[in-house]
This record gives sequence, structure tokens and C-alpha cells, in this order.
Amino acid sequence: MIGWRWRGGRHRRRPSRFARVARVLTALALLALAAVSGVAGVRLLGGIRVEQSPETGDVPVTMPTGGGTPTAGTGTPTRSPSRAAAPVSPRPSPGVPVKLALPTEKVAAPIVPAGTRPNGELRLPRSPLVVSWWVRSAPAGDRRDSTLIGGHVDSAKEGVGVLGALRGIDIGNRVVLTDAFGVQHSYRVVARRLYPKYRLPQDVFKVTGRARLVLITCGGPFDEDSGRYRDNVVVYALPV
Amino acid sequence: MLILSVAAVTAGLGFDAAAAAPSAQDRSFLQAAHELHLAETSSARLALRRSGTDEIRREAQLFLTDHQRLDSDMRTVAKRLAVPLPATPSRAHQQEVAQLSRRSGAGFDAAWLDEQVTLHRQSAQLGRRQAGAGSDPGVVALARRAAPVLQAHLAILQETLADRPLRAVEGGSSGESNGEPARMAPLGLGLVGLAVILAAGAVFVVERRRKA
Repeated sequence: MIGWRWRGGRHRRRPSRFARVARVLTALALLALAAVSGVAGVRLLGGIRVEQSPETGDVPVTMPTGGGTPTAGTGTPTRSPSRAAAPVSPRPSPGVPVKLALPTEKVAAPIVPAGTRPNGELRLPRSPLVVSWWVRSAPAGDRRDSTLIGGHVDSAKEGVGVLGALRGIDIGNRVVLTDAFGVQHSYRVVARRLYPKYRLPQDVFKVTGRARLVLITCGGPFDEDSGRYRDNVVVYALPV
Repeated sequence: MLILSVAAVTAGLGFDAAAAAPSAQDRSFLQAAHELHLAETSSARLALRRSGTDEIRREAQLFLTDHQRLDSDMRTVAKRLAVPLPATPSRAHQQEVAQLSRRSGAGFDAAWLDEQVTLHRQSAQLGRRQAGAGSDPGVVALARRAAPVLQAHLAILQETLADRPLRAVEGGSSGESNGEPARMAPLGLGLVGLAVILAAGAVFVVERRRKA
């Protein structure tokens, strides 16, 4: 209202140079705020909507191509005219995961089956060198549903654990789950997210209808008082 | 995979065609555990036909393939030791399956879960006894290899019965990995922008009052 009266009132006069600078500054700041809000919206708010897939945002979801040691997930021969009649290896059956490996990060950890506490938290081994497979999620190599692996990022006794590598993992890196029969199931990272725990999208825990691997641990700043991290680091990977 | 498993089993045995006759414990384990594998696979097949619940069907598929794999190794070892194995599940289990097949919906799922818990507990108990009292290293290896699979199956069944949703992961306790609020940067910039707007607005109002 003040601005309108100033512009259209009877006492209209040319604004001072100082006021003009203030107006320009205001306009620029508004533009900057709009742009920044957009980016923040995509990066943060977009990721927490349940109806939106959190692994499809500002990250590529196209599967990168690449080699690596042959695993169960890469058993299908490449399609080419000269090899059109080549036999296609059957997909390996899903199995209980017993080992997690991040080959690029050169870390690996045994996996134990785990359920939830009465308060809804995933049960985790004390050691950050061992991770949990949530037993109500899909087994390794499942082609329909989501597999969830979680673990401590660190401990006072053992320092930074295996899932500490998730903080810096790159899109396209391999994740390998080995099942109880020694079959390897390969995945590629398609997204890495940092969510405040109070805004962790429950879609992370959705099991049915999407073949993917979800790796989850803690991250962000550490609160000395509560002894907890503020955020969850979530890495999404798709079967190769 | 099958070839690899067979190779692993025979290698673990230090395969010898003229192996000594199996002990009563080995023989009893092979027969009872095989019978339970048959029971578990027939139950799993029934769940794949009868259950309309995604979670139950996923579990049934996993149990089916795992018990087929375990039983495949078991048949190889039994053949080497010339231990005859039953061709069908026990009569008691066949009656159990007949009763289950008359149920449907949530009633079927609940009864199937209960039955699976019973079967898996029996299998795990047989395995523990064999691991402690078995003689033939190949048969003992079968029991040891099955243990983590059966343990995982039991955990799956118990959690499905408890039906507790997963809501959170509290995965840190030392602060060793402290830091990296990098993804929060846009929010910080937004706050700076807001501060600039407020400052500019304040300057504007002050200037206008001064002029007035």
C-alpha cells in the first residue's frame, strides 16, 4: 500500500538515487529467491513427495553402460545381428543377500537379516562393518520389488563403517549383492539423496512394484546432545 | 549354478567313490531334511497358486527356489552315500496341505505363515543336530550351508507375522562422519536472498520517511 500511494499520490516526486538502488536490489533479490526456491524445491521438496519417485529428480535414471566382472545380473548376451540366435542365460533366481560390495569404493560388508523395532526403526547390528537386510523387503536380484539395506555409518568403537562410502558414491557406480548360494546380483547407482530424518519420504520403504536397491544410513551434521545424525543418506540403485 | 553347487559339495567332501557307510545320524538327517524340503516346496507352490498377497507370494517364491537349491545339493550327497530318499512329503504334511488348500484370502495367508514357521523350525533344529553330531563332512556341510538360509526364512516369517511397518533408520552413533550438509546449500542461499530483500525494504522505507 505504501508503495502504491507513493507512486500514484499527489505528492509524486522523483525517488532519490538511494531509493532507486534499493528498488533494484529488491527486484534482484526477489529473482534470486525465486530461482533458488526452484532449485531447492526440485532437490528437496520434490524428493519428499510420496507420489513422486524419489529416485527420479535431478539425477540420470538411464542405466549407464560398462563392463566389470561377470555377475549374475550381466548374464544376458548383447544383442547383435550376428548373435541373434545366441542362447540367453536365464536370470538368476533372487536369493537371501549375505554380502554387500561397493567395488569402486573398495568396501564390502556381511549382511544379516533384520526386522523392525516396535517403534518402527530398522534393527541394525552394533558394528558399522555389518549391515542389515530388511527381511520384509525383496531378496537380492528381485526383478519386481525393492530391496532395502541399512546400517550404521559409524560407531564410537570402530569409526566410520562401510556405508560411510555412500556419502561420496557416484552415479553409475556398481553395487553387488551376493546371495546365500554365492550368486552375485549387480546394480548401478542412479541417485543419492540427503533427507532430514523428519522428512524422510516413506516411499523409501515401499517394497512392491519397483525393482531397485535402496541403501540407507545416517548423514549430515551430528548432534552431540542427542548422539544422532540429523539426516539420512539414501542411495538408489537399479538392477543391471 | 547347479554344476558349481555340485562341484562345491563334492570338493567339500574330498570325494571318494568308496566312501564309508554313513552313520545313522547322517542317514536320518538326509532323509528327514529332504522330506522337509519337499514339504516346504509343495507348500510354497500352493501359496503361489492360492495367495493374492504380494508379500506372501514373494516369500513363497524365495522359499521355493532356496529349498530346491538346498535339496539339489542334498540329493547329490545322498546319491553318493547310497542313502535312499523319500519321493513325497510325509503323510502328515500332505494332510496339512490339503487343509490349507481349502482356505482362501487372509485365512490362507495366516495359516500358511504358521505352517511355514513350524516347518522351518523343524529344519533348523535338524540342521543344528547334524552340525553337532554328524559324521560325514559332506552331510555336515549341507547342514551348515542351510543354516543362514533357514535363519533368514524364519526372520522373514516372524516379521511378516508381526506386521510392523518400517519407518526409520537410525544409522549412526559416534559423529565420526559429521558434516556434509551440501544438499542443503540451496536453502541457505534462499535465506540469504530473503535477508537481502528485508534489508533493501528497510532501506527503502527509511529513505522514504526521510524524504517525507
